[in-house]
Amino acid sequence: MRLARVLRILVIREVTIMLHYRWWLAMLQLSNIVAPAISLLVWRGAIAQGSTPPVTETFLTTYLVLVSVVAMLPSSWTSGFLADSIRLGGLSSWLVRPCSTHLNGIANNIGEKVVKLVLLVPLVAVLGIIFRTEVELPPLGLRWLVFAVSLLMAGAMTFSLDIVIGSLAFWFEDVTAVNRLRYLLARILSGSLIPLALFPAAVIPFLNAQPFRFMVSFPLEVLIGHPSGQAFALQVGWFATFVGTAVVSWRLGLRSYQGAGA
Amino acid sequence: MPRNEPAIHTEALTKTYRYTEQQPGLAGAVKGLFRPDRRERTAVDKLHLTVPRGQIIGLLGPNGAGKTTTIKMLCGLLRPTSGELEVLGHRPAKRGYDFLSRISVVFGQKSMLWWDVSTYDSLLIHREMYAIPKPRFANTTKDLAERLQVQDILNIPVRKLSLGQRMRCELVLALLHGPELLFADEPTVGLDVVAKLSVRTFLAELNRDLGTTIVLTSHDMNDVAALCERVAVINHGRTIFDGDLDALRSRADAGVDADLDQVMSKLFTEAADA
Repeated sequence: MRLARVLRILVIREVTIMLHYRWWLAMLQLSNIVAPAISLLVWRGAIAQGSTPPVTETFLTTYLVLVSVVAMLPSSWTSGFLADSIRLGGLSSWLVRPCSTHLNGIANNIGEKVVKLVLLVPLVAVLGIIFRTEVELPPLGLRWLVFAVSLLMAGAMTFSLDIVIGSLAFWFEDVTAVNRLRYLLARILSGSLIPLALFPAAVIPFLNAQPFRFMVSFPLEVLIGHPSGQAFALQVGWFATFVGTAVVSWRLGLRSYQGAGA
Repeated sequence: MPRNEPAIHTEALTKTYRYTEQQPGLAGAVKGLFRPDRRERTAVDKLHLTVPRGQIIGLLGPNGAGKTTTIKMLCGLLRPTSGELEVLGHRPAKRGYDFLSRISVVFGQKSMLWWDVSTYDSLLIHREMYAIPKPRFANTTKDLAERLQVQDILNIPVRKLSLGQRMRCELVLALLHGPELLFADEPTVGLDVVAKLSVRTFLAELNRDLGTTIVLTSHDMNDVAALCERVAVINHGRTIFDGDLDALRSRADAGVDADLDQVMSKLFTEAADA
Protein backbone atom coordinates (compact mmCIF):
# COMPACT_ATOMS: atom_id res chain seq x y z
CA MET A 1 0.00 0.00 0.00
CA ARG A 2 2.80 2.39 0.98
CA LEU A 3 4.72 1.53 -2.19
CA ALA A 4 1.58 2.06 -4.31
CA ARG A 5 1.20 5.54 -2.81
CA VAL A 6 4.88 6.30 -3.42
CA LEU A 7 4.56 5.06 -7.00
CA ARG A 8 1.50 7.26 -7.53
CA ILE A 9 3.23 10.43 -6.36
CA LEU A 10 6.42 9.62 -8.29
CA VAL A 11 4.37 9.12 -11.46
CA ILE A 12 2.64 12.49 -10.89
CA ARG A 13 6.05 14.13 -10.52
CA GLU A 14 7.33 12.40 -13.67
CA VAL A 15 4.31 13.48 -15.73
CA THR A 16 4.79 17.06 -14.47
CA ILE A 17 8.41 16.99 -15.61
CA MET A 18 7.63 15.21 -18.92
CA LEU A 19 5.14 17.93 -19.86
CA HIS A 20 8.09 20.32 -20.06
CA TYR A 21 9.42 18.11 -22.89
CA ARG A 22 6.09 17.70 -24.73
CA TRP A 23 7.34 18.97 -28.13
CA TRP A 24 10.39 16.72 -28.07
CA LEU A 25 8.17 13.77 -27.14
CA ALA A 26 5.67 14.67 -29.91
CA MET A 27 8.45 14.64 -32.52
CA LEU A 28 9.70 11.34 -31.09
CA GLN A 29 6.26 9.77 -31.54
CA LEU A 30 5.99 11.09 -35.06
CA SER A 31 9.30 9.45 -35.91
CA ASN A 32 8.16 6.22 -34.19
CA ILE A 33 5.13 5.92 -36.43
CA VAL A 34 6.91 6.79 -39.69
CA ALA A 35 8.85 3.48 -39.95
CA PRO A 36 5.82 1.14 -39.63
CA ALA A 37 3.76 3.46 -41.86
CA ILE A 38 6.39 3.25 -44.61
CA SER A 39 6.66 -0.50 -44.10
CA LEU A 40 2.88 -0.72 -44.41
CA LEU A 41 2.88 1.16 -47.71
CA VAL A 42 5.75 -0.97 -49.10
CA TRP A 43 4.13 -4.30 -48.17
CA ARG A 44 0.70 -3.31 -49.42
CA GLY A 45 2.33 -2.20 -52.64
CA ALA A 46 4.15 -5.54 -52.91
CA ILE A 47 0.91 -7.45 -52.30
CA ALA A 48 -0.85 -5.37 -54.94
CA GLN A 49 1.97 -6.35 -57.36
CA GLY A 50 1.25 -10.03 -56.71
CA SER A 51 3.61 -10.80 -53.82
CA THR A 52 2.28 -13.42 -51.38
CA PRO A 53 3.59 -12.92 -47.82
CA PRO A 54 3.19 -15.81 -45.36
CA VAL A 55 0.53 -13.86 -43.39
CA THR A 56 -2.80 -12.40 -44.47
CA GLU A 57 -3.04 -8.81 -45.62
CA THR A 58 -5.39 -8.10 -42.70
CA PHE A 59 -2.86 -9.45 -40.16
CA LEU A 60 -0.03 -7.49 -41.78
CA THR A 61 -1.97 -4.21 -41.91
CA THR A 62 -3.34 -4.51 -38.36
CA TYR A 63 0.13 -5.46 -37.08
CA LEU A 64 1.84 -2.47 -38.69
CA VAL A 65 -0.87 -0.04 -37.63
CA LEU A 66 -0.63 -1.14 -34.00
CA VAL A 67 3.08 -1.93 -33.70
CA SER A 68 4.26 1.60 -32.79
CA VAL A 69 1.97 1.80 -29.76
CA VAL A 70 2.50 -1.86 -28.75
CA ALA A 71 6.29 -1.41 -29.01
CA MET A 72 6.16 1.81 -27.00
CA LEU A 73 4.10 0.48 -24.08
CA PRO A 74 6.54 -2.19 -22.77
CA SER A 75 9.67 -0.21 -23.71
CA SER A 76 12.06 1.08 -21.06
CA TRP A 77 14.82 3.69 -21.07
CA THR A 78 16.14 3.10 -17.57
CA SER A 79 19.51 1.43 -18.24
CA GLY A 80 21.39 4.62 -19.14
CA PHE A 81 20.05 6.58 -16.16
CA LEU A 82 20.74 3.65 -13.83
CA ALA A 83 24.31 3.23 -15.12
CA ASP A 84 24.97 6.96 -14.64
CA SER A 85 23.60 6.92 -11.10
CA ILE A 86 25.87 3.97 -10.23
CA ARG A 87 28.93 5.49 -11.86
CA LEU A 88 28.47 9.03 -10.50
CA GLY A 89 27.07 8.06 -7.09
CA GLY A 90 23.53 9.42 -7.53
CA LEU A 91 22.29 6.01 -6.45
CA SER A 92 23.36 6.83 -2.89
CA SER A 93 20.42 9.18 -2.41
CA TRP A 94 18.05 6.25 -3.10
CA LEU A 95 19.90 3.67 -1.04
CA VAL A 96 19.55 5.70 2.16
CA ARG A 97 15.78 6.10 1.73
CA PRO A 98 13.13 3.43 2.32
CA CYS A 99 12.26 3.27 -1.37
CA SER A 100 13.92 1.33 -4.16
CA THR A 101 15.51 3.23 -7.02
CA HIS A 102 13.69 0.77 -9.28
CA LEU A 103 10.34 2.09 -8.11
CA ASN A 104 11.54 5.46 -9.35
CA GLY A 105 12.57 3.81 -12.63
CA ILE A 106 9.11 2.26 -12.98
CA ALA A 107 7.48 5.64 -12.22
CA ASN A 108 9.72 7.31 -14.79
CA ASN A 109 8.67 4.79 -17.44
CA ILE A 110 4.97 5.03 -16.57
CA GLY A 111 5.07 8.83 -16.60
CA GLU A 112 6.79 8.81 -19.97
CA LYS A 113 4.19 6.38 -21.34
CA VAL A 114 1.25 8.46 -20.13
CA VAL A 115 2.50 11.49 -22.04
CA LYS A 116 3.63 9.49 -25.09
CA LEU A 117 0.31 7.65 -25.27
CA VAL A 118 -1.61 10.91 -25.41
CA LEU A 119 0.59 11.98 -28.32
CA LEU A 120 0.81 8.64 -30.13
CA VAL A 121 -2.79 7.39 -30.02
CA PRO A 122 -4.15 10.13 -32.34
CA LEU A 123 -1.40 9.33 -34.89
CA VAL A 124 -2.19 5.59 -34.75
CA ALA A 125 -5.90 6.37 -35.01
CA VAL A 126 -5.28 8.36 -38.19
CA LEU A 127 -3.29 5.44 -39.64
CA GLY A 128 -6.08 3.05 -38.59
CA ILE A 129 -8.73 5.20 -40.26
CA ILE A 130 -6.72 5.38 -43.50
CA PHE A 131 -6.42 1.56 -43.65
CA ARG A 132 -9.72 0.79 -41.91
CA THR A 133 -10.84 -1.76 -44.50
CA GLU A 134 -7.88 -4.03 -43.65
CA VAL A 135 -7.65 -3.43 -39.89
CA GLU A 136 -9.36 -6.08 -37.84
CA LEU A 137 -9.43 -6.09 -34.04
CA PRO A 138 -10.97 -8.81 -31.86
CA PRO A 139 -14.08 -7.94 -29.80
CA LEU A 140 -13.45 -6.90 -26.17
CA GLY A 141 -13.05 -9.98 -24.00
CA LEU A 142 -10.62 -12.68 -22.97
CA ARG A 143 -8.22 -12.07 -25.84
CA TRP A 144 -7.69 -8.45 -24.79
CA LEU A 145 -7.13 -9.60 -21.22
CA VAL A 146 -4.48 -12.12 -22.27
CA PHE A 147 -2.95 -9.42 -24.50
CA ALA A 148 -2.71 -7.11 -21.47
CA VAL A 149 -1.03 -9.86 -19.39
CA SER A 150 1.40 -10.59 -22.22
CA LEU A 151 2.14 -6.86 -22.56
CA LEU A 152 2.79 -6.53 -18.82
CA MET A 153 5.20 -9.47 -18.95
CA ALA A 154 6.88 -7.85 -21.97
CA GLY A 155 7.25 -4.60 -19.98
CA ALA A 156 8.72 -6.49 -17.02
CA MET A 157 11.20 -8.20 -19.37
CA THR A 158 12.43 -4.97 -20.96
CA PHE A 159 12.68 -3.27 -17.56
CA SER A 160 14.58 -6.26 -16.14
CA LEU A 161 16.94 -6.21 -19.11
CA ASP A 162 17.50 -2.51 -18.40
CA ILE A 163 18.41 -3.32 -14.80
CA VAL A 164 20.84 -6.03 -15.93
CA ILE A 165 22.53 -3.68 -18.43
CA GLY A 166 22.51 -0.74 -15.99
CA SER A 167 23.99 -2.98 -13.27
CA LEU A 168 27.02 -3.64 -15.47
CA ALA A 169 28.11 -0.14 -14.41
CA PHE A 170 28.93 -1.64 -10.99
CA TRP A 171 31.87 -3.37 -12.68
CA PHE A 172 32.50 -1.52 -15.97
CA GLU A 173 33.22 2.13 -16.72
CA ASP A 174 30.88 2.47 -19.69
CA VAL A 175 27.83 0.47 -20.74
CA THR A 176 26.74 2.57 -23.73
CA ALA A 177 28.11 0.05 -26.28
CA VAL A 178 26.17 -2.78 -24.64
CA ASN A 179 23.08 -0.59 -24.62
CA ARG A 180 23.49 0.28 -28.29
CA LEU A 181 23.85 -3.40 -29.23
CA ARG A 182 20.78 -4.28 -27.18
CA TYR A 183 18.63 -1.61 -28.91
CA LEU A 184 19.83 -2.73 -32.33
CA LEU A 185 19.05 -6.40 -31.59
CA ALA A 186 15.71 -5.51 -30.01
CA ARG A 187 14.65 -3.40 -32.98
CA ILE A 188 15.29 -6.24 -35.43
CA LEU A 189 14.43 -9.30 -33.34
CA SER A 190 11.38 -7.96 -31.48
CA GLY A 191 9.34 -7.39 -34.62
CA SER A 192 9.00 -3.66 -34.02
CA LEU A 193 10.42 -2.87 -37.46
CA ILE A 194 9.31 -5.84 -39.56
CA PRO A 195 6.86 -8.59 -38.49
CA LEU A 196 8.89 -11.68 -37.61
CA ALA A 197 6.64 -13.81 -39.82
CA LEU A 198 8.10 -12.03 -42.87
CA PHE A 199 11.67 -13.22 -42.22
CA PRO A 200 13.03 -16.17 -44.25
CA ALA A 201 11.54 -19.52 -43.21
CA ALA A 202 14.98 -20.89 -42.26
CA VAL A 203 15.36 -18.43 -39.37
CA ILE A 204 11.75 -18.57 -38.12
CA PRO A 205 12.38 -21.34 -35.48
CA PHE A 206 15.20 -19.22 -34.00
CA LEU A 207 13.11 -16.02 -34.12
CA ASN A 208 10.20 -17.76 -32.42
CA ALA A 209 12.36 -18.97 -29.53
CA GLN A 210 14.51 -15.87 -28.84
CA PRO A 211 13.45 -13.52 -26.01
CA PHE A 212 13.07 -10.27 -27.99
CA ARG A 213 10.03 -11.74 -29.77
CA PHE A 214 8.15 -11.67 -26.47
CA MET A 215 8.78 -7.96 -25.99
CA VAL A 216 6.73 -6.72 -28.98
CA SER A 217 5.72 -9.34 -31.53
CA PHE A 218 4.19 -11.87 -29.18
CA PRO A 219 1.67 -9.55 -27.47
CA LEU A 220 0.52 -8.51 -30.96
CA GLU A 221 0.31 -12.16 -32.02
CA VAL A 222 -1.88 -12.75 -28.98
CA LEU A 223 -4.19 -9.93 -30.02
CA ILE A 224 -4.49 -10.54 -33.74
CA GLY A 225 -3.03 -14.01 -34.33
CA HIS A 226 -3.26 -17.50 -32.88
CA PRO A 227 -0.13 -18.28 -30.85
CA SER A 228 0.23 -21.72 -29.30
CA GLY A 229 0.12 -22.56 -25.59
CA GLN A 230 3.79 -23.54 -25.89
CA ALA A 231 4.58 -19.95 -26.91
CA PHE A 232 2.85 -18.66 -23.76
CA ALA A 233 4.93 -21.05 -21.67
CA LEU A 234 8.04 -19.76 -23.41
CA GLN A 235 7.13 -16.15 -22.57
CA VAL A 236 6.61 -17.09 -18.92
CA GLY A 237 10.00 -18.85 -18.99
CA TRP A 238 11.81 -15.85 -20.48
CA PHE A 239 9.96 -13.51 -18.09
CA ALA A 240 11.15 -15.54 -15.07
CA THR A 241 14.71 -15.70 -16.49
CA PHE A 242 14.91 -11.94 -17.09
CA VAL A 243 13.44 -10.97 -13.72
CA GLY A 244 15.65 -13.51 -11.91
CA THR A 245 18.79 -12.30 -13.71
CA ALA A 246 17.94 -8.69 -12.85
CA VAL A 247 17.50 -9.51 -9.16
CA VAL A 248 20.78 -11.46 -9.00
CA SER A 249 22.84 -8.90 -10.95
CA TRP A 250 21.46 -6.02 -8.85
CA ARG A 251 22.20 -7.76 -5.55
CA LEU A 252 25.69 -8.77 -6.64
CA GLY A 253 26.32 -5.28 -8.00
CA LEU A 254 25.31 -3.55 -4.78
CA ARG A 255 28.10 -5.41 -3.01
CA SER A 256 30.56 -3.67 -5.32
CA TYR A 257 28.96 -0.24 -5.02
CA GLN A 258 31.38 2.46 -3.89
CA GLY A 259 29.07 5.50 -3.79
CA ALA A 260 31.36 7.83 -5.69
CA GLY A 261 31.22 11.54 -5.02
CA ALA A 262 29.47 11.49 -1.66
CA MET B 1 15.56 -0.23 20.90
CA PRO B 2 16.19 0.20 24.66
CA ARG B 3 17.31 3.73 25.64
CA ASN B 4 20.59 2.50 27.12
CA GLU B 5 21.69 0.74 23.91
CA PRO B 6 24.11 2.80 21.85
CA ALA B 7 22.97 4.37 18.59
CA ILE B 8 26.11 3.08 16.86
CA HIS B 9 28.41 0.23 17.80
CA THR B 10 31.30 -1.03 15.69
CA GLU B 11 33.96 -3.61 16.44
CA ALA B 12 36.99 -4.04 14.19
CA LEU B 13 34.99 -2.51 11.34
CA THR B 14 37.02 -2.83 8.14
CA LYS B 15 36.47 -1.83 4.54
CA THR B 16 38.85 -2.79 1.79
CA TYR B 17 38.56 -1.50 -1.77
CA ARG B 18 39.89 -3.54 -4.66
CA TYR B 19 41.22 -1.71 -7.67
CA THR B 20 43.38 -2.24 -10.71
CA GLU B 21 46.50 -0.15 -11.13
CA GLN B 22 47.56 0.69 -14.66
CA GLN B 23 51.09 1.56 -15.69
CA PRO B 24 51.47 4.71 -17.80
CA GLY B 25 51.48 4.79 -21.60
CA LEU B 26 50.12 2.51 -24.32
CA ALA B 27 52.36 -0.40 -23.27
CA GLY B 28 50.96 -0.18 -19.75
CA ALA B 29 47.41 -0.14 -21.07
CA VAL B 30 48.03 -3.21 -23.26
CA LYS B 31 49.78 -5.03 -20.43
CA GLY B 32 46.83 -4.20 -18.18
CA LEU B 33 44.52 -6.03 -20.57
CA PHE B 34 46.33 -9.32 -20.14
CA ARG B 35 47.95 -9.03 -16.70
CA PRO B 36 45.91 -6.56 -14.66
CA ASP B 37 47.77 -5.35 -11.58
CA ARG B 38 45.10 -5.89 -8.92
CA ARG B 39 45.60 -4.14 -5.59
CA GLU B 40 43.74 -3.65 -2.36
CA ARG B 41 43.46 -0.52 -0.25
CA THR B 42 42.17 -0.55 3.28
CA ALA B 43 40.02 2.54 3.73
CA VAL B 44 38.78 1.68 7.23
CA ASP B 45 40.98 -0.51 9.39
CA LYS B 46 39.52 -2.29 12.46
CA LEU B 47 37.54 0.73 13.64
CA HIS B 48 36.07 0.56 17.15
CA LEU B 49 33.40 3.14 17.84
CA THR B 50 30.45 3.37 20.19
CA VAL B 51 28.12 6.36 20.02
CA PRO B 52 25.47 6.72 22.73
CA ARG B 53 22.02 7.98 21.85
CA GLY B 54 21.60 11.75 21.81
CA GLN B 55 25.27 12.56 21.25
CA ILE B 56 26.78 14.82 18.58
CA ILE B 57 30.01 13.25 17.44
CA GLY B 58 32.40 14.73 14.91
CA LEU B 59 34.27 12.34 12.64
CA LEU B 60 37.39 14.22 11.65
CA GLY B 61 40.37 13.47 9.49
CA PRO B 62 42.28 14.58 6.41
CA ASN B 63 41.06 13.81 2.89
CA GLY B 64 41.18 10.07 2.25
CA ALA B 65 41.33 9.24 5.96
CA GLY B 66 38.29 6.96 5.79
CA LYS B 67 35.59 9.21 7.36
CA THR B 68 33.23 9.14 4.39
CA THR B 69 33.71 5.39 3.93
CA THR B 70 32.84 4.98 7.62
CA ILE B 71 29.70 7.09 7.24
CA LYS B 72 28.73 5.16 4.11
CA MET B 73 28.97 1.89 6.04
CA LEU B 74 27.04 3.33 9.00
CA CYS B 75 24.13 4.39 6.81
CA GLY B 76 24.06 1.18 4.76
CA LEU B 77 25.53 2.43 1.48
CA LEU B 78 28.57 0.18 1.69
CA ARG B 79 28.89 -3.38 2.93
CA PRO B 80 31.76 -3.80 5.42
CA THR B 81 34.53 -6.20 4.40
CA SER B 82 34.78 -7.51 7.97
CA GLY B 83 33.98 -6.61 11.58
CA GLU B 84 30.80 -5.96 13.50
CA LEU B 85 28.45 -3.07 12.87
CA GLU B 86 25.16 -2.27 14.50
CA VAL B 87 23.24 0.99 14.07
CA LEU B 88 20.00 1.51 16.04
CA GLY B 89 20.00 -2.25 16.60
CA HIS B 90 20.14 -3.02 12.87
CA ARG B 91 22.71 -4.20 10.36
CA PRO B 92 22.76 -1.22 7.99
CA ALA B 93 23.80 -3.14 4.84
CA LYS B 94 20.47 -5.01 4.95
CA ARG B 95 18.76 -1.65 4.42
CA GLY B 96 15.43 -2.69 5.92
CA TYR B 97 12.51 -0.25 6.15
CA ASP B 98 12.69 -0.09 9.96
CA PHE B 99 16.32 0.99 9.79
CA LEU B 100 16.08 3.41 6.87
CA SER B 101 12.98 5.12 8.29
CA ARG B 102 14.86 5.94 11.52
CA ILE B 103 17.97 7.50 9.99
CA SER B 104 18.61 10.40 7.67
CA VAL B 105 21.56 11.56 5.64
CA VAL B 106 22.57 15.03 4.50
CA PHE B 107 25.37 15.15 1.95
CA GLY B 108 26.84 18.61 1.54
CA GLN B 109 27.93 17.76 -1.98
CA LYS B 110 24.98 15.69 -3.15
CA SER B 111 21.40 16.86 -3.17
CA MET B 112 18.61 14.68 -1.83
CA LEU B 113 16.01 17.10 -3.19
CA TRP B 114 14.46 16.52 -6.61
CA TRP B 115 16.06 19.07 -8.87
CA ASP B 116 13.20 19.85 -11.29
CA VAL B 117 10.44 20.39 -8.76
CA SER B 118 9.94 22.53 -5.65
CA THR B 119 11.07 21.54 -2.16
CA TYR B 120 7.42 21.14 -1.21
CA ASP B 121 6.96 18.54 -3.98
CA SER B 122 9.99 16.66 -2.61
CA LEU B 123 8.41 16.82 0.86
CA LEU B 124 5.21 15.30 -0.53
CA ILE B 125 7.22 12.39 -1.95
CA HIS B 126 8.91 11.84 1.42
CA ARG B 127 5.50 12.00 3.14
CA GLU B 128 4.47 8.91 1.16
CA MET B 129 7.86 7.19 1.42
CA TYR B 130 7.93 7.43 5.21
CA ALA B 131 4.13 7.03 5.59
CA ILE B 132 3.81 10.28 7.54
CA PRO B 133 0.21 11.08 8.54
CA LYS B 134 -1.09 14.33 6.98
CA PRO B 135 -1.56 16.31 10.24
CA ARG B 136 1.96 15.40 11.40
CA PHE B 137 3.33 16.27 7.97
CA ALA B 138 1.67 19.72 8.08
CA ASN B 139 2.90 20.47 11.62
CA THR B 140 6.46 19.24 11.04
CA THR B 141 6.78 21.07 7.73
CA LYS B 142 5.57 24.32 9.34
CA ASP B 143 7.88 23.90 12.33
CA LEU B 144 10.99 23.03 10.30
CA ALA B 145 10.29 25.76 7.74
CA GLU B 146 10.01 28.36 10.50
CA ARG B 147 13.15 27.19 12.29
CA LEU B 148 15.16 27.21 9.08
CA GLN B 149 13.42 30.30 7.68
CA VAL B 150 12.45 28.72 4.37
CA GLN B 151 8.68 29.39 4.40
CA ASP B 152 8.94 31.70 1.38
CA ILE B 153 11.08 29.42 -0.78
CA LEU B 154 9.37 26.03 -0.35
CA ASN B 155 7.48 26.40 -3.64
CA ILE B 156 10.42 27.54 -5.76
CA PRO B 157 12.02 24.88 -8.05
CA VAL B 158 15.14 23.58 -6.31
CA ARG B 159 17.38 24.37 -9.29
CA LYS B 160 16.63 28.08 -8.76
CA LEU B 161 17.71 28.16 -5.10
CA SER B 162 21.05 29.48 -3.87
CA LEU B 163 23.40 27.00 -2.17
CA GLY B 164 22.53 28.30 1.30
CA GLN B 165 18.79 28.15 0.59
CA ARG B 166 19.14 24.66 -0.84
CA MET B 167 21.04 23.35 2.17
CA ARG B 168 18.35 24.66 4.53
CA CYS B 169 15.72 22.96 2.36
CA GLU B 170 17.84 19.76 2.39
CA LEU B 171 17.62 19.80 6.18
CA VAL B 172 13.82 20.22 6.11
CA LEU B 173 13.58 17.18 3.82
CA ALA B 174 16.05 15.13 5.84
CA LEU B 175 14.26 15.75 9.13
CA LEU B 176 10.65 15.57 7.99
CA HIS B 177 10.20 11.97 9.20
CA GLY B 178 11.80 12.66 12.60
CA PRO B 179 14.94 10.48 12.34
CA GLU B 180 16.63 9.33 15.54
CA LEU B 181 20.03 9.47 13.86
CA LEU B 182 21.30 12.06 11.40
CA PHE B 183 24.44 11.65 9.33
CA ALA B 184 25.61 15.09 8.22
CA ASP B 185 28.47 14.79 5.75
CA GLU B 186 30.02 18.26 5.37
CA PRO B 187 26.67 20.06 5.64
CA THR B 188 28.24 23.53 5.61
CA VAL B 189 30.63 23.09 2.69
CA GLY B 190 30.52 26.10 0.37
CA LEU B 191 28.11 28.08 2.55
CA ASP B 192 28.60 31.73 3.51
CA VAL B 193 29.01 32.66 7.19
CA VAL B 194 25.33 33.53 7.70
CA ALA B 195 24.12 30.24 6.20
CA LYS B 196 26.78 28.29 8.15
CA LEU B 197 25.66 29.84 11.41
CA SER B 198 22.03 29.10 10.62
CA VAL B 199 22.76 25.40 9.90
CA ARG B 200 24.91 25.06 13.04
CA THR B 201 22.30 26.67 15.27
CA PHE B 202 19.61 24.45 13.82
CA LEU B 203 21.59 21.23 14.35
CA ALA B 204 22.34 22.21 17.94
CA GLU B 205 18.62 22.90 18.58
CA LEU B 206 17.66 19.63 16.95
CA ASN B 207 19.94 17.70 19.26
CA ARG B 208 18.86 19.67 22.34
CA ASP B 209 15.08 19.62 21.71
CA LEU B 210 14.57 16.19 20.14
CA GLY B 211 17.63 14.27 21.34
CA THR B 212 18.61 13.39 17.77
CA THR B 213 21.98 11.66 17.55
CA ILE B 214 24.15 13.44 15.00
CA VAL B 215 27.27 12.13 13.26
CA LEU B 216 29.01 15.08 11.67
CA THR B 217 31.93 15.16 9.27
CA SER B 218 33.37 18.54 8.46
CA HIS B 219 36.65 20.15 7.56
CA ASP B 220 35.39 23.34 9.16
CA MET B 221 36.67 23.23 12.73
CA ASN B 222 34.26 26.02 13.72
CA ASP B 223 31.40 23.60 12.99
CA VAL B 224 33.07 21.01 15.17
CA ALA B 225 33.81 23.45 18.01
CA ALA B 226 30.23 24.76 17.96
CA LEU B 227 28.48 21.40 17.85
CA CYS B 228 30.51 18.39 18.90
CA GLU B 229 30.82 17.29 22.49
CA ARG B 230 33.02 14.46 21.24
CA VAL B 231 35.34 13.99 18.28
CA ALA B 232 36.82 10.86 16.76
CA VAL B 233 39.86 11.58 14.63
CA ILE B 234 40.50 9.05 11.88
CA ASN B 235 43.69 8.69 9.88
CA HIS B 236 44.50 5.91 7.43
CA GLY B 237 41.28 4.20 8.48
CA ARG B 238 42.20 4.00 12.17
CA THR B 239 41.04 6.04 15.14
CA ILE B 240 43.97 8.08 16.40
CA PHE B 241 41.96 10.08 18.92
CA ASP B 242 38.56 9.75 20.60
CA GLY B 243 37.47 12.27 23.22
CA ASP B 244 36.28 15.84 23.78
CA LEU B 245 37.84 19.01 22.41
CA ASP B 246 39.78 19.80 25.60
CA ALA B 247 41.36 16.37 25.51
CA LEU B 248 42.12 16.87 21.81
CA ARG B 249 43.98 20.11 22.59
CA SER B 250 45.85 18.43 25.47
CA ARG B 251 46.81 15.56 23.20
CA ALA B 252 48.41 18.06 20.82
CA ASP B 253 50.03 19.94 23.75
CA ALA B 254 47.97 23.03 22.92
CA GLY B 255 46.21 25.44 25.26
CA VAL B 256 42.45 25.53 25.87
CA ASP B 257 42.06 28.39 23.41
CA ALA B 258 44.36 26.94 20.75
CA ASP B 259 43.19 27.12 17.16
CA LEU B 260 41.62 23.78 16.25
CA ASP B 261 42.96 23.81 12.69
CA GLN B 262 46.49 23.99 14.09
CA VAL B 263 45.70 21.28 16.64
CA MET B 264 44.42 18.95 13.92
CA SER B 265 47.32 19.73 11.64
CA LYS B 266 49.78 18.87 14.43
CA LEU B 267 47.95 15.64 15.18
CA PHE B 268 48.04 14.51 11.56
CA THR B 269 51.69 15.43 11.17
CA GLU B 270 52.58 13.42 14.29
CA ALA B 271 50.54 10.47 13.04
CA ALA B 272 52.30 10.62 9.66
CA ASP B 273 55.73 10.72 11.33
CA ALA B 274 54.94 7.86 13.70
